[in-house]
Amino acid sequence: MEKKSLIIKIVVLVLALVLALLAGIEFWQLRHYKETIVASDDLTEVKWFSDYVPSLKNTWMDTPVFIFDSGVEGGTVFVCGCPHPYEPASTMAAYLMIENLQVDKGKIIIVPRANYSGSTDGMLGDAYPMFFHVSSDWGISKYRIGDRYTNPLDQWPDPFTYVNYPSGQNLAYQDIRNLNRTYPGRENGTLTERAAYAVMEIIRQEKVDIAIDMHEAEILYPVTSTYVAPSKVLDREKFLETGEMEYYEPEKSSLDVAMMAGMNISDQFLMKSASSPNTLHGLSHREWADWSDSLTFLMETPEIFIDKITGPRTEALMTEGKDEFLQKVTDKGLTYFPYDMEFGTPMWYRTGRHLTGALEVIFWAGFFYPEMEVQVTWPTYLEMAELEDQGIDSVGYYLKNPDAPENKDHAFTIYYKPVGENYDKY
Amino acid sequence: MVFFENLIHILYFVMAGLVALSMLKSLFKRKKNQGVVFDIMYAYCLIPFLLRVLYIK
Amino acid sequence: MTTTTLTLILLIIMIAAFVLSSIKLKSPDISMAVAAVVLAIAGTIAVPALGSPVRYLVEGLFVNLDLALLFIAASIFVNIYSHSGAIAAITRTVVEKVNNKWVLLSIMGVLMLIPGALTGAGSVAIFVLGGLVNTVLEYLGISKKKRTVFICFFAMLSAACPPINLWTMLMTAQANMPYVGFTWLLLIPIVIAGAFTIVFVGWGAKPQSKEETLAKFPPKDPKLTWWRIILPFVAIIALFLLALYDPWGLPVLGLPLMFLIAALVALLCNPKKTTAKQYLGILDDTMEQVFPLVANVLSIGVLQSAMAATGVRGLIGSTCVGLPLVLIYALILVVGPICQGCFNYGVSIVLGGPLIFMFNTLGMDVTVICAALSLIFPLGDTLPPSRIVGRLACETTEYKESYLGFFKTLVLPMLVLGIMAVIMIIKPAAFAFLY
Repeated sequence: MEKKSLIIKIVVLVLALVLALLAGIEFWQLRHYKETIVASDDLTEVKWFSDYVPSLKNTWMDTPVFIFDSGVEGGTVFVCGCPHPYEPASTMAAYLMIENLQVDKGKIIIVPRANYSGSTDGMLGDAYPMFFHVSSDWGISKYRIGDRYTNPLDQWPDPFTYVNYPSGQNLAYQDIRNLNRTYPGRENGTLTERAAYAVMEIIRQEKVDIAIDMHEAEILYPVTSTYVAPSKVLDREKFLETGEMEYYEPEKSSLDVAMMAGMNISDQFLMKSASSPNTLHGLSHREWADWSDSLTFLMETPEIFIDKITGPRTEALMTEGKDEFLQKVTDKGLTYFPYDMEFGTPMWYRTGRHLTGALEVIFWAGFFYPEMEVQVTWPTYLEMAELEDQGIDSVGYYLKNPDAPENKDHAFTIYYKPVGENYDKY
Repeated sequence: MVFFENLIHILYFVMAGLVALSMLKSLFKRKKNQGVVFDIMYAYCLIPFLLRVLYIK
Repeated sequence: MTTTTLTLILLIIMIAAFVLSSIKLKSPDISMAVAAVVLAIAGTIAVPALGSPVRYLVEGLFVNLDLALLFIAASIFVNIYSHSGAIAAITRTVVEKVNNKWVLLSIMGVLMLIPGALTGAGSVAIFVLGGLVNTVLEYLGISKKKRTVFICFFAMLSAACPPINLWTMLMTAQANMPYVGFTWLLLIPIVIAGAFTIVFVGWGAKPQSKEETLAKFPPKDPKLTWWRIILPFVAIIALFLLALYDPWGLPVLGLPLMFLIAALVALLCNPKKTTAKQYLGILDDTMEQVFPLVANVLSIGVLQSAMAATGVRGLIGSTCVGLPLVLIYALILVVGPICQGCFNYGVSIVLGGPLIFMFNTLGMDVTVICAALSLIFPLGDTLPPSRIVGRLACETTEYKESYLGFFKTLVLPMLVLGIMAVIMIIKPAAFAFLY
């Protein structure tokens, strides 16, 4: 080999390695960045997914489960944050709940990062920013924007088609890493299926009455800005005996609760209600209801980043949601949300919707079925809107400083395994 | 089943590592696709396999 | 400056960078990477809030990483299998036993459909069977150009063919639809377009002398028994069937590992004495052979990321879905494949998803429309910048003349499939009985 040619090859290799190193540092930061939150005084217990599915221990799919028990008999609520990490208002709402929650009756269980592994990776080919920032009067906090799917570093390879268990329905191959397509999960399945099974076990073992799954959706998608709840549920006994899927109207209807909640908040923001189809499997609003006795609800906020057809994909687009292209397609009547780019779809708005949306279903479920009643408070959409009117970042306003001495005993690092002493106390 | 899933997971990392090694070798010594343009492509395409096998991305 | 103007300027810069580097460097793969880098830098200058483009330029390399591994594994399987003389033996038997030109062409067509139908990638069909089909078509007296058309078109059909159609999968995933009900909607147009292509390619061809053709093949190795020839295929088909029908009884193997297991079976079935060094040589040659395609799919991922980051993807997507319905009907056959050339499977997300939602709003049958779009998008695999399948077909038949000349001949079969798909989009209700 000529000397010149060899030198060129070495130079090219070094340049590629430098590029790999620079990008690798960023990927590493995303993978290993640890968020810290301050739980409210009402926290009574912290469990992990691995308490329900032991094989998840020390995997990147293990994640903390925060339990707030009032000690007063009432219903039990389960809130699932971050089933899809690239929908960050879901996590943000879960964090604000955990930090500000006060429960006077019943029990609240919150998982803020249900697909922890997925939160450590970015959406491939979509050029998502890795983090978004929230400013408070005590400083700036940084949060991850992850992937829709479990990180391939933790679950690889994908099959050529994904077959949901136990429905046998074929779904897209990559959905085997999509937590919200793998319900009700399998105890000895893939990593994501095991996490799904852990969620089901939380719902079943903790005797959850009301289960809420928080998502975000593109505004080109009909089910954006919507509660999805089942009107019919699977006859489990018949299915287990015969393999036939037959559905019946349960005594307690999630859809009735969702419709009432949607109507009641219609003066605050648009929240439609849709019935969960019994022909599409693997989703929380279908399988949670089919494989447990809880009332189940999935909430979607409008999130234009997911629409793909946006302008330059900056952090501001994620936190403010102002986009000319989406305005154009809205003007042509193609979107399912009255989008106005003057206002956009800011992070506080989407977070506030989840907070109030969840409170409403909890209230109406208790109203319809008194044995499920739970009395709980956390920041609401209206309170946040008021702060925003005063020019205050309402998300940051409700976040507590984990470094402040008074919060030290309640600060929790969110990671796939316990970090710090506080987990030992619970 | 979990054991086999984990084993296959590791096998894929081994595969990525072997592909990375093969590309590194081809960058310096190959029969076809000569020239600087291919040198650049070999070095560039090496990156994802390398970052995957290093458990970074 | 409005976002539209800004992204339009960025789009022009990207196209200019691609065209100039294509002329200068004569490699579509590196030209895509150059276009992506130029676009990313221009984007960062225009929108500083995008920050350093390094991350998404590297992240883009991961978009098609699994596809690249699949190409590598499938090529390893074929080359090890072929080393035993099995492919030559199969070709020899087919030429020997089948006397009717149309039957032979039909067998080749059906065979070509299988690898893509199982993997979702047309390129795999060419890797696995391109050489065999080329030899048989040559024996049938079909010109090099038409052989390339046959291989290329059937590879595209093969990618669209059920059970695995990746475009459909991606669109159903985005639209929250199960991946169910597409078999006949996809298969019937494919069979019609395939039959047309067989007639189109085979018309007027005069088979060469059977004896002369057979004389060209290497003599059959008596040790190469039928079970040695069949077993590697049995292995891979068994793995596919198990994964499909007993998905919970088997760990997820993934396509690359399935092909490597089949390669191992092929290696064990090889009657020739082959040293480890010789096998390493085969692996080495395979890697060199498949590299341009690997570079191609990895580069398209990088371009895809840069287009997404800078908003160029948004400009293209929002413009397309914002077109009046009549224009969508009129242009989908052009716009769909062009976007496929740019975004590869990503076209399903950028264009397919929004179109599905739009047709859903109009109350039209989106299952039929989703199938129709999945028949249109694969046609773009012959278009720049990526033109993966077109290029691979030309390489397989060693077609060295003008690409445009080949493409002109290919247009007719493409139109047959495309027009059927457009009719499905315009009148989806009429096809609803197929699922």
